Formats: sequence, structure tokens, C-alpha cells
Amino acid sequence: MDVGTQLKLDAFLHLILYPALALTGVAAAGLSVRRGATTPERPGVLAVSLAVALAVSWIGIVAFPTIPPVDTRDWAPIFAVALPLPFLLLEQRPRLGLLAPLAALAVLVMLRLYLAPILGGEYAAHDRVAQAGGVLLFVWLVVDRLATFLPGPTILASLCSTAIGASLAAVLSGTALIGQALGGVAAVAGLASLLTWRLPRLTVGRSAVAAVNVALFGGVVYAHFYGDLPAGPAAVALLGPLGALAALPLRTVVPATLLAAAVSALPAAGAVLWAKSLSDAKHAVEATPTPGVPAQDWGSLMGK
Amino acid sequence: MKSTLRTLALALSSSALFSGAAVAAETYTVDNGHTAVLFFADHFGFSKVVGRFLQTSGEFAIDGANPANSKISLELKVDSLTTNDGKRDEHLKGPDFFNAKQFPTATFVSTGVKKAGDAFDVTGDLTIHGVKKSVTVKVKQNKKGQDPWGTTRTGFDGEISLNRNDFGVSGVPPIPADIKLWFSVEGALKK
Repeated sequence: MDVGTQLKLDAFLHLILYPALALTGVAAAGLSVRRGATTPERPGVLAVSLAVALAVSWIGIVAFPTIPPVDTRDWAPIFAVALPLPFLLLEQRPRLGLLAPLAALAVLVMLRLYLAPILGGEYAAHDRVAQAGGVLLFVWLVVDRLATFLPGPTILASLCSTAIGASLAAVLSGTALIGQALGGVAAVAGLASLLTWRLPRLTVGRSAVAAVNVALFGGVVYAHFYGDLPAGPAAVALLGPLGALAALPLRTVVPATLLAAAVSALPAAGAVLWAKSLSDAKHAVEATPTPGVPAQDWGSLMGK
Repeated sequence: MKSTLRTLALALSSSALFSGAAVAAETYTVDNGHTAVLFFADHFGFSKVVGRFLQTSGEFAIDGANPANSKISLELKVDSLTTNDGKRDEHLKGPDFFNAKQFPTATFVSTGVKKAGDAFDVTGDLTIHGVKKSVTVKVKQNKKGQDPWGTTRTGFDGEISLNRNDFGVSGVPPIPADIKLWFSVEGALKK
């Protein structure tokens, strides 16, 4: 098998097939459990399915995490499984009003542990980290609120568009591996959108929102503070879920989902174009093309 | 990378130790201007991508009578890496490879030195990307003597093959995982 074919096969396996198997497998197992007189809706099932699928996706694309983590990116699959858990409990006690504090705590934990080696330094000054935390918390609360009004497939499709934008922006900024991991988040969100469309019992609750948010935010934070994803495109990409607001007036799932995905893709596209222009401008002065040799892409060892 | 440089430096100093000099525990400071730590990565069989760490530091102690007492420590600044291509350097320093912001240095600290024919096997802890592994580097001592300004110097050359995945340097497929490190380290006798 040639290298190109192997790469395509690996991408299909780790981006699509394995996460899809994890998502559907866990969801099927969760839905098959009889729970007596409880309601037919099982928001926790989707959350657990998403958490497992996102962890599988990350591990397949990046690496199996070292425990305890050496590189802080190894927190990603751990966070994917652990951080949505409090939101599962919140779904059982929705009147406690703990959403904002729990979301803030989750964001704080992510920033603290992802950025531990550089916190307070040149790359992660406290004001920048605080600003990032504010953006993440705002987006988290917006997505959570939208999820209560919109059908499950719709909000997941919006998150899928957002993750695609973040993924491409990260790749164009020279952080290919994390970009691929964010592509994995997009794939899982997209697959979950399809799954919740076909299986309405799989409702999108706060824990499911938390699962996607944790994976999406983690990738963006890592690509920004350790890679070269600029703050502007990162923030614009994360505003993608606001596009789902356009779907609020629609009553049927499919049109609402398609509209939310399309409108959410606008800030995502803006982030991609912005990231590309910043990258091009940054490297314009150092480009020394050799006559007759095609220009390099995003600068990998294989790029020439 | 710093670890690698340290390893190289250590290895070089180890060679000096083995030269059998009468002076015990001579300590040399790594001379960055005359030290090179290079890495070679295959480019699909077409050529080798060659990188260099421009900032090295460390020291090595030489015990001519008993090489096992020799000590080498070397540090490389990952951010000083260059492959003569700005975008590629940025990529290598980023989170896909060395993650210089999170792991700004690579180090080598020797734990033992043995004579191996006309060279020396220097065993030590190589730390790259925050992952510490015990490695053994074969090094060969170069000349030991005084430079034109009266400073006693010595140096060593060596190389080691590594799998970057062993150090958690994920990279991006299909970039090969096998990397060769080559070093030539020179030190000036500490006064």
C-alpha cells in the first residue's frame, strides 16, 4: 500500500470509523438498558456516547495519553470523559442552578491544567488566559441555552461547523496534529447529529453539550497557546454556535439543522480566511522560493 | 533537543575521560561556538532534512584514570532549532513536534561511561519533550590540547538513532519516526 493510500485509510479509520463505532455502540448499549417507568429520553446516553467517541478519536489521531500527563495535551481524552460527568448529575437536578458555576469550573480546570507549564509566562499571561476563559464560558452558556430551544441534530450540526472551522484554522496556522484532532471533534459532532436525527430518544442535554464543548475548547486552547493559532481567528471560530440562532424560528428538524450548520459555517469560514491571511503575512518576508520548485504548504517536513 | 545536545556533550566529554589523561576530574565547559548537534530525517528517500540546534550549553568532567567517574550534562534550547526553512522550523518547534513553549529544553545527563574499543559507550538520561529515556551513545574522543591562546580543550563526536515516538514527539504522518542525531562537542577546561 502506498503512503497516500495508507494516509487516507488512517484518516478514515481514526476520524470516522472508530469514533462512529464508539458513538453508536455506546448509544445502542445505553438505549437498550431498560429503566422501568423512567422517561424515554436519555440525555445521559448521548453524553456518554460522545465522551467515549471523542476520547477514541483523540487517541487515534494524537496518541494514547501518558498518565499522569507529560504533555498537557494528554489531558484531552481524560477531560473528554471526566468533565461532562458533573453535568450528568446536573441533568438529574436541573433546578439547582449550577450550570454557570460548573461550566466556569470546567473552563478553569481546562485552562489550569492545559497551560500549567506556561501559565503566567510570556505565552500565557494571566490577562490572556482570563480573556480566553471569558470567551469559552460565554460560548459554553450560549450553546447550552440554544440546546434547550433547538432540536438535538441542529445544535450538534452547528457545533460540527464550528469545529470544522477551528480545525482548518489550526491547520493553516501550522498546528496540523491538533487541527486533525479538531477535525475529529467535527466528525463526532456530525455523526451525533445524524444519530440524534434518526434516534430522537437520544436527546441533547447539558452533559452532551459539555462533552463537545470540552473537546472543542481544549483543541482551540492548545492550538492557540502552544501553537500559532492567533487569538482573533480562534475567537471567531468559537463564535460559530451563534449561527444556530438563525434556526430558532424554524419548526422542522432538517431545515433547521441545515440552516444552523450553514450559518455557523460563516464565522468558521471567516476564522479560516483570517488565519490563512495572518499565516501568509507572517511568512511572506521569509519565503525564499527556489525557481522551479513548488511552494511549501504549511511547513511540514514533507511539505516540499 | 537540549537533552540530545547534553547527551552529545556528555558523550564527548566522556571520550576525553577515556583518553587516559593523568588529571582527574577535569571539567570542561561546552563551547557553543564549536559545538554542533544535528539531526537528520529522511525525506521520502529523496534527501535528508538536516536540522541544527544553535544554542547548546553544559559541561563535562573528565577522569582520565577512571572513565566511570566521568560526568556529562548537556542542554539544548529547542527554540534555537533551524532547518533553513522558517515555516518548517515553526512547525517543528510547535505542538506537532517538540512543543518548544511547553518543553523549552532537551537535556542529557550521563549515568555511566564504559570503554568500547577505541570509543566509549556513554549511558545517560536523555529528556526530549518532557520524556526521559535511558540511552547509550557511542562517542569518540577528538584531540585534547591547548588552543593558540593557551586554553586546554578537548572534544568528542558521536551519533545515536532515535525513534521520536519514544519521546512523545508525535509529528504528522507520513513523516518518518526514525531520526539520527549527530554531534560534535568541544569544551574548554574550566579554570
